Amino acid sequence: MVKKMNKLIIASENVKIENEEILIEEITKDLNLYLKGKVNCGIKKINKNCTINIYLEKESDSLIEFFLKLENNQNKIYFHNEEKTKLKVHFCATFSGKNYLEIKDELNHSNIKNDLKIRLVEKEGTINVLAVGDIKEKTKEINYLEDIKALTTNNERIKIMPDLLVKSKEVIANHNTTISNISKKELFYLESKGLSEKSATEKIKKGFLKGIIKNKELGGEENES
Amino acid sequence: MLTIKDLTVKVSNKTILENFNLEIKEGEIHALMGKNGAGKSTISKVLLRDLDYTVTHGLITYQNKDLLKLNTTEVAQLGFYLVSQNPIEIDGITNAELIRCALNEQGKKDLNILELNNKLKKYCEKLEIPTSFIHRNINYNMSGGEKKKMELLHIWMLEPKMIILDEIDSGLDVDALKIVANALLEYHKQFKPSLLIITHQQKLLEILKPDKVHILENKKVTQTGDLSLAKKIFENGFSRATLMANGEKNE
Repeated sequence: MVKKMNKLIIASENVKIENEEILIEEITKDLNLYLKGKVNCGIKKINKNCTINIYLEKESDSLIEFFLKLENNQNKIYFHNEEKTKLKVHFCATFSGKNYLEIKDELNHSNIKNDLKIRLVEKEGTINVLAVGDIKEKTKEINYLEDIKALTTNNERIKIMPDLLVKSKEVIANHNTTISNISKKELFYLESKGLSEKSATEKIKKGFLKGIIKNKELGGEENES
Repeated sequence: MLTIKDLTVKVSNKTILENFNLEIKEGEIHALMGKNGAGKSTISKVLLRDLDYTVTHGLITYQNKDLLKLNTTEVAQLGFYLVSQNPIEIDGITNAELIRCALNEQGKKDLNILELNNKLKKYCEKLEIPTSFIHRNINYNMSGGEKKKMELLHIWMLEPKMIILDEIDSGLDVDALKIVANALLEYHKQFKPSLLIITHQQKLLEILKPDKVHILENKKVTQTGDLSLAKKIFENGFSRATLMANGEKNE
């Protein structure tokens, strides 16, 4: 039996999701999202200027996947963790026009495992990314990974500013940022199978984003063995 | 027929091949052997028009078409297929997607999804590949042997006419090598493609029995013979085999 995922358009300010798989078609304005238990949440569209605060309740285990087209967007996404939370964020987006993205992960409690992956593909636009991992004093057993990769045809169009603030000693925290062009080897491989340059380039760009997405409704590979 | 005439190839201004000549008729199986670094892989990249390899002199024609005027896609669509030594991994593109897209670009749009899936499953069984691999990203998290088998799956699906195997046997265990070699042999019997096998392994050549064996030395083909030439190399090594060949000529 195929399990159907709930689909939502969110226009309210406060939303609570508990132990659910959910697909958010659109977030139309600033949102406070409260997650409890095991939550799997896909997000397809967000308002150009909205700020999203995501609050993880104690012992929650969440996967949040964004698959967006940013076009002249100015977005801020903040994560707030309680104790013993696990969070995976897969933020994937193509961007055109002038964009600003601020992602801040504030860790003020202990026993937290956060895995934040951001993938960006340029489509004739610019983006400034500020990625902040703020690990406060007195926190323990924090495992934090921030992995940002961007694919571009012109490196000058992307600026990524990582800001990893670690004030606690009992922390494993890693940050990784890569800005690169389309791989010549990948392009040659696909062309040597008969794909045109245009089609191969599109496949590589799409694959770059899809590679980390699990949710099938967002184009991922979940449940495919 | 594939004809390579007086070819000179440079990479980063260094000459890798010079006065290289080779002719492969339709349906023939040829083996190209040579020491490490002799330039064997270079010829495979040149044929697939990898622009990192610059042809400064010579001609390559296939079915009366000037290959040097074509790009990689056009060469592939002409029926060329390269299995490289280390097939790369590409994240986010599944094997099914790649095959579907390649077939579309070949103009085989009439193949519906059901037919395509059935064909894929049939060939997976033949190659002893788990069918789940079809939906895996290209070569992602696969062993060397699995990658080579997946390349063979692509071959069966895309039906190329000129196949270049660049050390397809590297990274294969004895059983996997037999499966790969037998699948190639069966494909050859069914579709009659030309094969250019670049190898260091005796086993593969024993199964595929090439019509001609060429030795690449000093940037060009210096000897051509039948399978017995490969046997001499396996028994005596390249240097000794070359000396023996020169001795035979002097006699």
